[in-house]
Amino acid sequence: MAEPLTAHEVSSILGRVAFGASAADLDTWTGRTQVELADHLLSVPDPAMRGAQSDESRRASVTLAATSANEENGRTHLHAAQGWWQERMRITGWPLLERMVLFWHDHFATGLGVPHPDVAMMLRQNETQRTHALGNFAELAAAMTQDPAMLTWLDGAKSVAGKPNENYAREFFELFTMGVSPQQYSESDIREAARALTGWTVNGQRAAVFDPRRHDTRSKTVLGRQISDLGDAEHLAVRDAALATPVSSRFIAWKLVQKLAYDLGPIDVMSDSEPLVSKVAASLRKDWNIRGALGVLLRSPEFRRGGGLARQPVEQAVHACKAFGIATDAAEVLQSLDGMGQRLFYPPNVGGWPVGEEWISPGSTLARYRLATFVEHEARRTAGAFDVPFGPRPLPPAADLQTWARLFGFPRFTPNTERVLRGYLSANAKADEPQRHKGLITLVISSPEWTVM
Amino acid sequence: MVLSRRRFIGGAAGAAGLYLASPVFARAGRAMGMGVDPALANRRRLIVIHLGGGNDGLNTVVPIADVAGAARASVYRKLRPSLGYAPEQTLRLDRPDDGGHGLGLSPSLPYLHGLYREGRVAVVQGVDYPNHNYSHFSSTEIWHTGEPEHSASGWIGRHLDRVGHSEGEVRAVGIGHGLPSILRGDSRQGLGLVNIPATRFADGNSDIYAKSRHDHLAQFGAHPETELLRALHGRTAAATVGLVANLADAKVPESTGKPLADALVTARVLLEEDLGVEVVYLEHHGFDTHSNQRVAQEQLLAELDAGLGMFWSGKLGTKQVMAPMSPHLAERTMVMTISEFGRRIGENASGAAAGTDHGAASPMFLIGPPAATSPLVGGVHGDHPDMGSVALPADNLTMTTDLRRVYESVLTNWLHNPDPLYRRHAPLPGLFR
Repeated sequence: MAEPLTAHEVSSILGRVAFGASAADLDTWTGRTQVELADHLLSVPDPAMRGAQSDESRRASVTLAATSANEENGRTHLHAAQGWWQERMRITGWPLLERMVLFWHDHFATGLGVPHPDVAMMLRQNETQRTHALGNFAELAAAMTQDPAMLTWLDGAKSVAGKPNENYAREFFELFTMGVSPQQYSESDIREAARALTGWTVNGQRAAVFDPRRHDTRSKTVLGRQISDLGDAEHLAVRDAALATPVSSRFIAWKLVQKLAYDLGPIDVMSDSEPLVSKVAASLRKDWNIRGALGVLLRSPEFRRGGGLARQPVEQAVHACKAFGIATDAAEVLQSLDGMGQRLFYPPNVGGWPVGEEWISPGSTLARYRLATFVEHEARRTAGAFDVPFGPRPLPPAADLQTWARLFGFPRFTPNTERVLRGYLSANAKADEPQRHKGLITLVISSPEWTVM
Repeated sequence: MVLSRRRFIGGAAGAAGLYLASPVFARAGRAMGMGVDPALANRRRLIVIHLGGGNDGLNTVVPIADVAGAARASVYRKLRPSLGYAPEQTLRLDRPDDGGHGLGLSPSLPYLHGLYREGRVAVVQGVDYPNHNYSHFSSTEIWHTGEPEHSASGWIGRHLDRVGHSEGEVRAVGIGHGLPSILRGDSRQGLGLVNIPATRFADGNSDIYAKSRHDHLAQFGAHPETELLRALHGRTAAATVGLVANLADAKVPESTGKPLADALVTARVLLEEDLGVEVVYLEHHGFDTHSNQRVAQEQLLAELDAGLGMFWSGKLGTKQVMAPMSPHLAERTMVMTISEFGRRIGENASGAAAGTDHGAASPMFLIGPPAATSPLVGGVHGDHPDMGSVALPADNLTMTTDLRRVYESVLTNWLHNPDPLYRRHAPLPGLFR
């Protein structure tokens, strides 16, 4: 742990949790320690102090405008929201924070619906998730139960005493707090929890309110605990019951490892087969503090070693655009991401986005190729252009693969990628430099190492 | 029970089996002088449509009369004051032997009803698996693998393994993002694509530099990386280049604007382009009707019905999207519907907001060729799940037909390729001639 980081490790770490390394990052962090890098990534100020991000006014205006979204212009507002968040991921000084907001957006997967949840509600959920992203998981879980977008999405808002809707209660246990591997809750727990959660609904101003007339006041038994006469605090009792089970901290730990460290596939989370999962779980079990648990993860030898993590499309796009100073809110980027299977604020279902090999298919290959085509076009355009921020950004000579690798945030390309690139360069030795640059950029973004870090 | 929402690329055999060669469709294979099965045009085809979310079987195949002492229609009316259909609203299943079933189809399924009357539709009742799981993901995995005790491979994937076609041939296609478990075998798998127009390179095909880029993209698969996901990525890149080349000349009608109809158009094109594709899997989503079920389900079933109509007749509404299916292909094509579960008997609210929560057993449809030549026996099969009595209604519909028996019936009698995993699950008697 005290060993200095190699350039390759810096590249892998920042690629997995910070939307990719730049050449400058490689220079800054190579030779420093893993603890120093972890501490740096985690040094995000408390929520109360974060309002001063440079794009805050853009966020505010996109959110305000979204409150007047309707069926005709809804898509425009969605693109504005996606564009704002992707740009924040690209330019933020706290990439780990945005990486964790993306993690929670995937974990508590909520999607747009007609007429609700609408873009305005999703942006509010986004801000709630940002507030708690590095905070306390128990508080985050409670905030999600009361979130207007979530209440609408999983029918909590319609659930009423006498006819409780089980949708949210089921997913709360299955997807948000406990998981099914192993399953430590029963159908009865779901039904009883659904009763306890009745009363919460959404008013005309898209705000969550508790209506006692809709609440089932009879006693419930959830996960062996009796819940009586707690009214609007019964959802906290359900949460506490879930988080008190042996499986919950391990399930959340598994998710954190699965999505941030390396793809370890489904496991029985109660077994101690994965030391990193056990360590992170122990940290969560203490106080449910997310920042603390992430510290354990980021400082671990297992994380440092890695083991193959397929990055999400948004992460790939942000990194590619970051490398060349290109804005991520272009329509071409949004359409490519759609083709790759990821639209922010619009997960495919309540289970969130895929993992691992599920991301790898001809469809995503072709959509990523399309993204690469946009990036290379913009990179070459701004290479000689004087009307872009900070002036022209000339591209390295095509044959200088070492510099190209650093531009993309790698100390060098893998032997396989280098073989492909050299093959392309020699097959096109007579082509002009821009044409050779075009091929290089397209092939690097389409390479296995771009997706799998 | 540990269930995988994804498959591991397991072991040397697994990794080696994936896209060793740039996959080709059979037609191109023939052109390249490879030995391809000359009976390819005569192979039977299977279309599997997954109704995603858990389709409410009771409002799809509706109990409209109490029969033989089973108070189904009465229980249905009692537990579904808002959601329930009156008998006269449904499309009666009224073939000669149907009186004893007392069932009617959802009013949103007129085309299917027409096929049923022609004897082309088998309705298999009460399909589920033991120890029912109410999670969308877990239950979908079980329906896709066809093995409640956890298999890593899909039942169609295993079919592909047993057929033992050459590594490069693409016999099964999944329409959508990614590749679903149902199409993953141990040594063979299908290929996923979103639609045919999107299966093109953004930089076109005419420029020599674009072609050079594509050729080099394929090279990522030539020398596999040691890390498994990277190896898969490289091979998929190679497969993609081959796929684009093979589909370059396919003629595809314009989008209909309806995702399911478009998927069925894609399926027709894949089958008709003589590419060797036998199985196409596609999904129709939205059936998780916890609320507002009436409007939502009717819309979805109407889209299914219209899509099926277009699949055979080529016509969607008033528009002739493509030519009617040839008799040769129609004689060899079967469609089956699956869903991860049905829904509970009782509605969970009242009025238009009424919906249902996750349930268990539900009916499956098998739609076969014109009845004269078809081995599929049209009509109602299996037993209706017990619904209790008006005084003591059941809360949920439980299994009367194990899904493994339906799969084995299709594998044995339609695809002529029984699955050894199902040796203890005999095909359903009377479902096929």
